[in-house]
Amino acid sequence: MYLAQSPDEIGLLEMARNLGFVFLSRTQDSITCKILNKTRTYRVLHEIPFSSDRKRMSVIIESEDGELLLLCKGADNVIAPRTNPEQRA
Amino acid sequence: MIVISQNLIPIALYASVEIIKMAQAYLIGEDIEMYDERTDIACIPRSWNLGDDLGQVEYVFSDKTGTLTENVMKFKNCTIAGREYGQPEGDWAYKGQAEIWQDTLTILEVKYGANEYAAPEFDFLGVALARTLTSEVKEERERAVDFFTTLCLCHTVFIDHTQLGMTPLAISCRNQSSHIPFFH
Repeated sequence: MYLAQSPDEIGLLEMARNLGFVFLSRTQDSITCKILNKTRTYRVLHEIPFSSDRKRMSVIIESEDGELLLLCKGADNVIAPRTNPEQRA
Repeated sequence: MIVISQNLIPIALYASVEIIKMAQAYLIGEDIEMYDERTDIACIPRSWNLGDDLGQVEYVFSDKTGTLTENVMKFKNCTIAGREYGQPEGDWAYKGQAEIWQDTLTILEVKYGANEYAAPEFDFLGVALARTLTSEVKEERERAVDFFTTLCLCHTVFIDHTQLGMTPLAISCRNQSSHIPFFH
């Protein structure tokens, strides 16, 4: 059972889970996921929480093979200008 | 007071104003501009005598989706690398909702094995998305995989351990999801 402040997040996670991207557990500094039948644990190095000013949240994550990723999720009008113009429809 | 002023204001005026308000409420209820085809509901004027107050409204505030939509968030569409998913298209568009979801799961299962967490029924037209997720073109596939990996990792959701007795399948039947048009 997922618990979140907003039902949007639960909705997104349930969709991801249905497609095989399953959020399994969270500790203080890690998230364990099953991504297309491979269970992986990611270290959460930093989290910038959602705020109504930024209209997005970000996490900095280290994967098992040491790759560092910044992942960002937010409102369309905030994310779209930050995407690569060549990839926009 | 009414009795004293009845020479100035005829009692019948009260009655006719009431009738006018009734007629206005009827017209509001019949207004085709306020009719919603999807839910088959027109405007419902619950009170006759608020019509005149309506003219004094200066500001209309509205909350984001949730307040009016009972907080049911359904995943309907997403755009990954400029391609929109969740729309009826292609050779499977004629099929029923349940069949499309079964096809979606089957396509994923063939490449990645069964997903024990997937909901058996889900209201999403996912065949195109499943094909992208299993695509032979590495770049195309990885973009979609990255998209959902991000959904998996970038959130503030916790697992509710008090409900661990419930199977994940039973939970996903709640069918809550969301619409997020852009993502990177």
